Amino acid sequence: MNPGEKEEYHRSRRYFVGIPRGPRTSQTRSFVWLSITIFTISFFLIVAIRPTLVTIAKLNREIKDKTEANQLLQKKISTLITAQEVYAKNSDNLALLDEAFPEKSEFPRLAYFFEQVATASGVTLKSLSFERIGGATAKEQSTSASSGQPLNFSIAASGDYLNLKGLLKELESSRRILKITSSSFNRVKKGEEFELQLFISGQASFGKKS
Amino acid sequence: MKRNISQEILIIAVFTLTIASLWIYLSINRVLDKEDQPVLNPQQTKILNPTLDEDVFEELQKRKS
Repeated sequence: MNPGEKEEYHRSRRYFVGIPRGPRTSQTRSFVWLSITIFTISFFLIVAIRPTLVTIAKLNREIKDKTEANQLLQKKISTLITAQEVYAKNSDNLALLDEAFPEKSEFPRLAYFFEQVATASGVTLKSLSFERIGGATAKEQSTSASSGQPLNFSIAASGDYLNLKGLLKELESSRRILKITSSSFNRVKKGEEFELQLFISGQASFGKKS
Repeated sequence: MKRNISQEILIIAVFTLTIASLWIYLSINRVLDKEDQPVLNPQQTKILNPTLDEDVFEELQKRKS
């Protein structure tokens, strides 16, 4: 280096950067390469492998859930097919269910049934009354769909004991489901004779089909 | 014993690899443990019981209308 260059070097030495020297021994070189390899593996683990594994786990889980749902739906389909067969087999009998538990109160039909049973049993129907339910009269209930509340009724009949007992039995075994809540026998004096009277109160259920 | 800078880098690299592996494990674990919305709603999973007591019809048939 001549004196001019030396002077130039001293003036501009701050612009030079000292580059560290490379690994000297083979052990150091191995460490550096191993570190570079591990860093590369870590990089790809984070950037590529992790999202892939997470996606695989999500898809596996989704497949498992959907397989379970599929099995459940298959089971439901088979029960629906069975139910359809049972329905087809018993479709003729469904009218019986409508009769036993009608959609509407069917008040006129029920009143006619009481009269019919009383006549058949040989008793005299003294009174027959239907209570108002939920502010609606029995007539209104017979025409409109109900809220599922029972139709309360009370009957007073007179006759001899066996006939009155027969009336009670007929009511209990009627096709329309009637719940007899109370029944009582009373002896009422009529002129010079005593008359046996039966008071029955009960409920006739009906409901809206859901 | 004085450690070489390359050894220090190697330790950091191993540490990074360990953390990356742990992170992957936790991510997968979280995905598997996460409760997703069910595929079917309760209405769809409700199974109808197709058995019918047919004796009821016979019983009703016997009763007077």
